[in-house]
Amino acid sequence: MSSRFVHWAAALLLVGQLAGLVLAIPAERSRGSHFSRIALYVVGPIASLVSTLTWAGEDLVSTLATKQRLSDENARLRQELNATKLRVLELSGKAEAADRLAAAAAYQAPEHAALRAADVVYIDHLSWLRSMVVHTGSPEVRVNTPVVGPNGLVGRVVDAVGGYAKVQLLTDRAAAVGVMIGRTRRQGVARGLGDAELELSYLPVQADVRIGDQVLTSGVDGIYPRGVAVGWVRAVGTGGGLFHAIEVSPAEDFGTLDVVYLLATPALPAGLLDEPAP
Amino acid sequence: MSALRIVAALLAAVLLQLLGTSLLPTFPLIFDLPLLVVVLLGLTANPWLGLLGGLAAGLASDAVSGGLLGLHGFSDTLIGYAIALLAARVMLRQTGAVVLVGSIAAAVKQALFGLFGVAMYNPPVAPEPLWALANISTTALLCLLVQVIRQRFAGDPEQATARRRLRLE
Repeated sequence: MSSRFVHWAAALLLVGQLAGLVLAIPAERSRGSHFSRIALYVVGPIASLVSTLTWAGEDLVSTLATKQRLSDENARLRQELNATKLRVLELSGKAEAADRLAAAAAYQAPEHAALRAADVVYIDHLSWLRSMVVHTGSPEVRVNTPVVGPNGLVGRVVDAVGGYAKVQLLTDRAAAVGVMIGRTRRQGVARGLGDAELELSYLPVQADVRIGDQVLTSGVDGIYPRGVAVGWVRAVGTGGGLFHAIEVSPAEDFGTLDVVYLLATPALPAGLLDEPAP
Repeated sequence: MSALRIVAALLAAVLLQLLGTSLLPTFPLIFDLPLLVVVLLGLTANPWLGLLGGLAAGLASDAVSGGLLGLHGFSDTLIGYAIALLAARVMLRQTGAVVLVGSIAAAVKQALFGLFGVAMYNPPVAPEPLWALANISTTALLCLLVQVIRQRFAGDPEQATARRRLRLE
């Protein structure tokens, strides 16, 4: 083809496209030239395919990342599970060993005390005696029966008449209970101060006691069974002597009690605590 | 250059342009892959190849772009034809010449966009200078890359150009 023909063709195409451009501006809804429509007819499906492939690629990458994350999390959880299983096995072994030792030492754990509910009918908040009256019904309860609440030790029965019993609260100035620090098993005696707090006595200054330590009954006073919650160490002082001056907050809130529980523990044989005759 | 290779090159350029646009919204502001194909077609010194290659690349760009229809078509047709005419009269085989031609082509296209944007839109719309500069730079770099690859793998371009001229005559 001659060069003149190609020049004419180029001029025609360029002018045609320029005219199309000029016409496209005023007609805002113009669909463009025939050439661009043909190109759109060809390129449109390709553009759709590319978009689909792009979205599929992004989904694939996201899926792979999620799969990897889940796989890593699964591996981590399996490790934690295996560690937990080993720990359970270890503790089971220790429990079994403890049972064997107890059997070898002919140790018999105390029987669990039966609980007997009693309604609180009167609480004396004002007098220094700090006591309450409960309705026990029949049969009549034994004096020195321990009394507990939902959160811990309440006191002991000091008198019983008919279907009622008088309970000396822990916070009574005349009340005392053998206790121990739950963490160290160090024993002492908790006494009522006549207000809402208790005093823990006979703990040497070298004993390890911290604020927040749980105080439990030691079971060595012949009245209360071992392991009943008494309170929490609120303050620790030296007291200036050989023993700590420890304040204990009772575990039980006496102001909220409406039902208490009597622990039907077996009484010590009569005369066991009496002084032997010289 | 066979027709199949030309079509494949154009398609690849359009597809890559589409892919890049779908992944990065500013891709078409920085890269103009169909223009690169137009420049390479024009450098073959064949006016028909430059003209029709520019037309096809431009229309394809118009079809997938969101701007004024016909703008890419007119610009690429003009650029392809002009490069082909220039390559027929001036030796443009060296790498520096190819890069320069590519840069000028991208600059001319940005200028045409600005001209049409100012003349035909109210308020006037023109490419931002920084994006235009980025477009020119990337086109130049791509021309350099293609020229390096061609020299490394495609043999002596001087002999290939001589063979093409013999066919035209």
